[in-house]
Amino acid sequence: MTQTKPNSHEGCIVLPGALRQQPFDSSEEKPQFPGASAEFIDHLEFIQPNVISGIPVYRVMDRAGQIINPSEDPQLSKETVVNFYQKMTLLNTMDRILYESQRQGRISFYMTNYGEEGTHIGSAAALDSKDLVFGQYREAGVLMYRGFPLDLFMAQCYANADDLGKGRQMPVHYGSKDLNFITISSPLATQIPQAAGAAYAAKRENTNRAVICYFGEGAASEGDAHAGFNFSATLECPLIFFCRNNGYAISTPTNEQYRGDGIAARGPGYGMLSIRVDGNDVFAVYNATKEARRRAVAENQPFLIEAMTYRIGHHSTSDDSSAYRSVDEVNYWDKQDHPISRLRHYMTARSWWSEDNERSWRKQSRKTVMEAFEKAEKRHKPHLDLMFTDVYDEMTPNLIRQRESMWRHIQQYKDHYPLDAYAK
Amino acid sequence: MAASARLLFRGAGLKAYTANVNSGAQSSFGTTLLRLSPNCSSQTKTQIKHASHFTYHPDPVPTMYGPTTKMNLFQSVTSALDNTLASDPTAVIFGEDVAFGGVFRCTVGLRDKYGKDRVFNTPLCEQGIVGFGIGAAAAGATAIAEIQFADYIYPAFDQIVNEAAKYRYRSGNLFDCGNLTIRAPWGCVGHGSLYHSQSPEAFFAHCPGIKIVIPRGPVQCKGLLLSCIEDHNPCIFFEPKILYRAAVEQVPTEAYTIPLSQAEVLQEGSDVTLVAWGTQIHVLREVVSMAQEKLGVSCELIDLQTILPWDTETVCKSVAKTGRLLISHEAPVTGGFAAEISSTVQTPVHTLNQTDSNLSTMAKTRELCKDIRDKIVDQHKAGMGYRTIGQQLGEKATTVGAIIRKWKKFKKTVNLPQSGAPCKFSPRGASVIMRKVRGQPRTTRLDLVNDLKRAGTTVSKN
Repeated sequence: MTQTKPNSHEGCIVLPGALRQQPFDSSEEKPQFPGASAEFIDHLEFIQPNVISGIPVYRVMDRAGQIINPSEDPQLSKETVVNFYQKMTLLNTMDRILYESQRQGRISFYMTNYGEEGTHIGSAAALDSKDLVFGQYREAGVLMYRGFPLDLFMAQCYANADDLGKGRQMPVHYGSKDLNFITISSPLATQIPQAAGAAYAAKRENTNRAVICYFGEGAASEGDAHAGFNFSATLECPLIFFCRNNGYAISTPTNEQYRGDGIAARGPGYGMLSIRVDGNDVFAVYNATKEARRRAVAENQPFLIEAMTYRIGHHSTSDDSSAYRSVDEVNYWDKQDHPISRLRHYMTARSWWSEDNERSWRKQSRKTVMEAFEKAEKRHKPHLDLMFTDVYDEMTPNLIRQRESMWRHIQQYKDHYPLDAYAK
Repeated sequence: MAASARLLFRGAGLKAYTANVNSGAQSSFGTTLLRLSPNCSSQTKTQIKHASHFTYHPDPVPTMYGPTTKMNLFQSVTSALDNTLASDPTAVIFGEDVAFGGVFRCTVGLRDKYGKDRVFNTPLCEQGIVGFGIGAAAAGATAIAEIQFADYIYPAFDQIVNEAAKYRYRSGNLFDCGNLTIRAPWGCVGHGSLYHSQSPEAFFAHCPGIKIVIPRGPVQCKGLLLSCIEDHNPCIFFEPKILYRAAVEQVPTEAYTIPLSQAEVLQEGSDVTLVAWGTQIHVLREVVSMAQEKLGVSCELIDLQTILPWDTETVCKSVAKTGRLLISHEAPVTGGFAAEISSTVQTPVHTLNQTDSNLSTMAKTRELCKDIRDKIVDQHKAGMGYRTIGQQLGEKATTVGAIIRKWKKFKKTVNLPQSGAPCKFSPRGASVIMRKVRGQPRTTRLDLVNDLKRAGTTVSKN
C-alpha cells in the first residue's frame, strides 16, 4: 500500500499509530469515518445500558467455601492456602488493634480493611514480587502478603524514627521500595495515570514486569481514572486495573456514584478487556489476576478487574457508618459472606485447618501484633532535621536557613517543645 | 490572490498548523469568493504587519561548548531533546501532537530518528499526560512531557502540586519523580488572547518540590532544558512562544548545561536593579538603553532564569548596591512572582545581615546591626586594633572607634540615645518647642515630649 497525501479521495493511507489500514473508497456503502469501524443502520435506536443484568460475577467458591466448578479450582498447595488464611487473619488482627489504638489516642488515624482481605491476598499472590503496585489506601494486605514486617506497619502509623517514610504522612500511607509498593498518597485516583506511565516504562525495559493499580469504585469517578484507562489502552501498557467495589465511598453508596453497570462496564468503552469477580472469593480473585497478569505482559494491553466486595468497617476512624447504613446490612456481610470464613470452610473441608490451629494461630498473631505495637510506641519520633530534607534532592539555601532558624527558635524556647520525644 | 492568501493565513491563527489547511480544495473557493465580491477590496485597512513589542537581543556566540550552528528557539529545543534521546536510552517524549513534530515544531524529526515507542502522542488529557509522566519517571524512565500551551496546564495542577512535588518527601526518599520534565509554550505572542498567552509561573512558585525555569533565548533554552532534564527533581520548563521563531542565535550542537537557580547579571549598573525573565528581558534591554540615554540612569539588568528555587543572593546583592528594584513580568501583578521577589528583598531577615549585604530596617545613616557591633567589641577585647577590625569586617576604622568608645562609656553596644548624651533636635523640633512655649507658658514637659514625637524626634522626659 502506498502512502498518499491526506487530501486525496482514493488510495490507501496508513494512519499513524492505527492497528489497521483503511482504504478510503466512496463506492462502498460501509462508513469511511476514521473514528469508528462499524456498519450503517437505518433505523433510530438508542443503545440501552444494561444495568438490570450487568456483567456477571466470576466466582470459584460458593458462600460456604465449596468449589462450584472443579476445573476452576486453582489447586494451590496446602502451604499456599494456609499462608493466604494466615495473612488475611493477621491483617484482621492488626486492624483491630490499631483501630483500638486510635480510639485510645495512641495514633492519630486508622483505616481498617475488614471484609476486603480477599481482594488483597488473592491479587497479591497472583503477581510476581517485582511487579510494581500502585495502591489507594485500603490495600495493606498486599503489602503484608509481600512480607512487610509488622514493625514497619506500626512505625508508619506511629510516625516514629523507624518509619521508612520518615514520619511525614498520616497513618496507613505505607510504602516500600524493596517490596515494589509505591508510597500511598491521600489524593484519590492520582495513582491511576501514574500506573499507566510506570507500565509503559516497564514495557520498554522488557523485563517481564507488570504493574497493578488498585482503586475503589468512588475513585473511579475521578478524571484521573478516565485518563489512566484511556492512556493505558492507547499506549498498550502491561497493566492490571484492580477496582475494589465495596459499595461505599465514605457515605456515598454506589447508586449515587454511578448509573452505569459498575466499573467493569467501562472497560470496553476504552477498548480494554474486563472482568467482574467475587472479591470475597480469594480463588476467584487469584485466578482472574493471574490470567490478567500473564496476558497483560504477553500482549502489552491493560486489563480491568472489578472485584465486588463489601466494606464491613467504617471508612476510617473519623467515620461512624451507622449514620448511613444499617447494622443488619453490615452483619450480613460479616457473618454470611466473609472472605476469611469462606476460605476457612474450604480448608476445614480438606482437614487443612482445625480448631486447635485456629486457637493457637489467633493467640500467636495477637501476640506478635502486640509486641510490635508496644515496641513502636516506645520508639522516638524522627529527627527534626527530617522536616527539611527530601523536598528537593538537595537542600536549597532557603531550606537550610529555615532549618537553622527552627533550631535557634527551639533552643531559645526548649521548655515549650517535647524534645525528648524526638531522635537526637 | 497572494494578498488574500496572506490574510487568510494570518486570520487562521498560528502559522505552524495553517499551512496544510490553505492548500486544500476548500480554501481556494473561499479566496475566490473574497476576490470576486464587490465589497471586498484586495487591500485591507490593516496591511501593517503586526509589530512586535520588543526587539530580540541575541546572546553572544558561546565558545566553551564546542561548535555552534544557527538555531531559533524551537530548534534549540529540538536539539536538546535530540541530544537527550541519543544519550539516554530510557528517555521518552510524549504529549499532544508531538509525533508529527508538535504544533510549534519542537519535536520535528525525533520520532523518525528514535522510534515510535520513544516519541509518541497521548490522548488529549493534561492530567493524564503529567500523571503518566510521573509514573514513568518513578519507574526509572527519563520522562519529558509536553503540555501544548501553558494555559492548559491547570488540569494537571493536582498531579504537579500534590504528587510530583511531594513524591520524594512523602515517601521518605523511597521514591521520587526527579526524572520528570514538563515543557510548555508560555507567554504572550500578540494574537493569543486569554488562552494562548498565559504565564502561570506564580501558581507553581508556591509549591516547594518542583523547579520552574524560563529561558530568554536559544542558547539559554538548550542549556537550561538539558539541566532540567538532568536535574533530579521534577521541573517545569516554560518556553516563550513568541521567541520560537523570532529568537535566533548560534547554539552549540553538542549537549551542555547552564546551572539552575543562578540568576544572570546581563548588564551591570549602579542606580537601579531590573529583574525579569523570558521575553521581558528583551523589553528591559531596551529600557536600559533608554534610561541611560534619556534619564542618565544606570540600570543593572538581571535575568532570573530559574523562578523556583530562585537566586535570592544575586538579586539582593544587586539591590544592596543600587538601592532600587524594578521587576517586570507579563502575568497579573497581584500575587505575581514580582510580589515574592520584592517581599524577600525588603524583609529584614537577620540571616541576610550576616552576609555581605547591608540590608537593614534603619534608614538614613547606615546603622550596623547588633551582631557586627558585638563582633567589633569582641575583637577589641581580644586585642585587635581599630584599623584591623575595620578591615576584617569591612567597616571604617572611625566607625569601629565610635562603637568601641560608646561601649567603653555605656557598657552597651546598642545604639539607643543615652541620658547625658546631647540630644539632637531637628530645626523643626526646636521651632515646635519655641512655638508651644511662647503660646502657652504653662506647657509641661510631657506635652513637649509628645509634640516633639509628632515632629519626629524622640526624647526622654528628662
